[in-house]
Amino acid sequence: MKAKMRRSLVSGTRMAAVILVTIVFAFPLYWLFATSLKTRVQIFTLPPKFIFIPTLENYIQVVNSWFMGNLLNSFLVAAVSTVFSIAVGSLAAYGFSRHPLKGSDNILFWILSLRMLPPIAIVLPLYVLFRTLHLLDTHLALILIYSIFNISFTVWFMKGFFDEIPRDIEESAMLDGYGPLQVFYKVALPLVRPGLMATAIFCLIQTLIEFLIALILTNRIAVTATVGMAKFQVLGVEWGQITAAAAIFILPIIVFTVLVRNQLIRGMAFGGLR
Amino acid sequence: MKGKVGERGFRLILYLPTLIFLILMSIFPLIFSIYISFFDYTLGQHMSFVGFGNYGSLLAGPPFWSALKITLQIAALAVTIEIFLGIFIAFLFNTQTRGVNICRMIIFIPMMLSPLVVGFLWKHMFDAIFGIINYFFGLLGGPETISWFTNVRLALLAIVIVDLWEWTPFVALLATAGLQAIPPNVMETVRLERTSLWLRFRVLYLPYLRFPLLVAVLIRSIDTLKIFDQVYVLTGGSPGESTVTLSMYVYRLGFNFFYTGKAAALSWLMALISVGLITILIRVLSQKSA
Repeated sequence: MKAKMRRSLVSGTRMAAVILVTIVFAFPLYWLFATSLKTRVQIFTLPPKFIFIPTLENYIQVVNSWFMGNLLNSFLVAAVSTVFSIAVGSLAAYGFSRHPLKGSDNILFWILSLRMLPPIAIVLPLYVLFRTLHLLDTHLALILIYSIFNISFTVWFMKGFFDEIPRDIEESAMLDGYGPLQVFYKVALPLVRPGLMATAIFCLIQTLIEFLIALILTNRIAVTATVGMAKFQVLGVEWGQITAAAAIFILPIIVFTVLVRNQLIRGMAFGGLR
Repeated sequence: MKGKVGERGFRLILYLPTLIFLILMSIFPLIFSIYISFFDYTLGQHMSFVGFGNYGSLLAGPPFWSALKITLQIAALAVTIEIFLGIFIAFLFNTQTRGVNICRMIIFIPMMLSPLVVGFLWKHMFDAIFGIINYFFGLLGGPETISWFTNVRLALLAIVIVDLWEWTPFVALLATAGLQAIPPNVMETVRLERTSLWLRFRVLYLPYLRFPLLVAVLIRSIDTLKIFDQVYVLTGGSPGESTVTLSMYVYRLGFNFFYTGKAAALSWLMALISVGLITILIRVLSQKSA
């Protein structure tokens, strides 16, 4: 009886601590959404208001501003780069998994290191090249450069999924007379569909949230959502609108994150840990 | 048979698109960047060869050392605290109780958000007059109008706090994976022997945590060395130039002043540091899986 009480006390304390930690991490997000729903006066009220009558004023202003165009650019660039990277990268991933080359490990190392290099080191020479090719401030330039990172990610991430397919399945398909190409797209590819979905979502998120490269490569036409938000700050736009823009931008990202929650470690730590 | 591709042809299909794209888009530009780094080159004007002149003048000037120092300070502080907090959170959340899964999901959201949005979020909260953080300090009896971004130490602290919020859950996520790898029977034996907490941690948990934490330290170090977005929004490099990180310094050299040669040289120095860390990381990762 006593032991039982002690145990429930311990688990109660632990639960309280868990909730406290969660609140600490969730509060800034709550505050972002709360601020976006306040009027100008409410934002600059002391002490700060935690409970208030929400208004959509800021959202209406953001939806009617140029920011929506930036948002569209972001999603367009992210979608095209993701589709391209998955198409190209999953081929190589399958290669590294099933048809390795001589020196595969070194090539894989090179591909992974591309993704982790400081973006500024890659974008600087490409800026000079794109400038000569008149590709600055175009969607194409962004799609190309983001695809470096996305292909690198896809190769690593998808290789893990292909590695998990039991070899017998492909071998028996071979015995049935399938050629290597058919084994790939009729047998292997359908088996890794969940992996492809997760890869796509990670590529989308990571492209959407990028800032530095877009800041350097865009100016007026291909400006992305993150660069647009930074412009708000330069133009002295108020917190209500900045937070509303941020809220519109991060809502899909939060949904995406929830969708890939079971793959988070694999995605964020390069499949190094299972 | 018709439509069948041989092994050799199939390999070409598999590898060529990726390799061609990555070589064109990365190796070629990186080599071009080394080339530029040996020239006194201001974008749009003609180039003159200076050998290692750009590297020399970078290493001789205080801005480089200042940027290196602030970047290392941010990285060291943030990564160290993240490891300890991350372990704590991993233990705390390592339970099957109902509701914990939702809490875990919530704390993992910050690391997926755009670092730029994270910067804005916190800049708003750090506001000297209307910021919620100073309000909380006031409630606790502290000073209510801390001006976070006019003092170097406070600005550094603010940047680190933002990094902690975004990335501690990542360390916790890795540590949790380590904890979950402990076989249940091992847990039981140690639990039955009434050992001290510290001994239990060292003998039971540490062997399983060592690998994920090493990976966490490496990945976080590689990431914080290139920190840009949050600092750009939070301080913009101020007060003075004191919080200009390495990435920001390259950005300014290359895209505010268009000293392309110098910027290329510095970006190469950065890339070298990263490649060093990445090599260690991949060694670690491949040893584990081998």
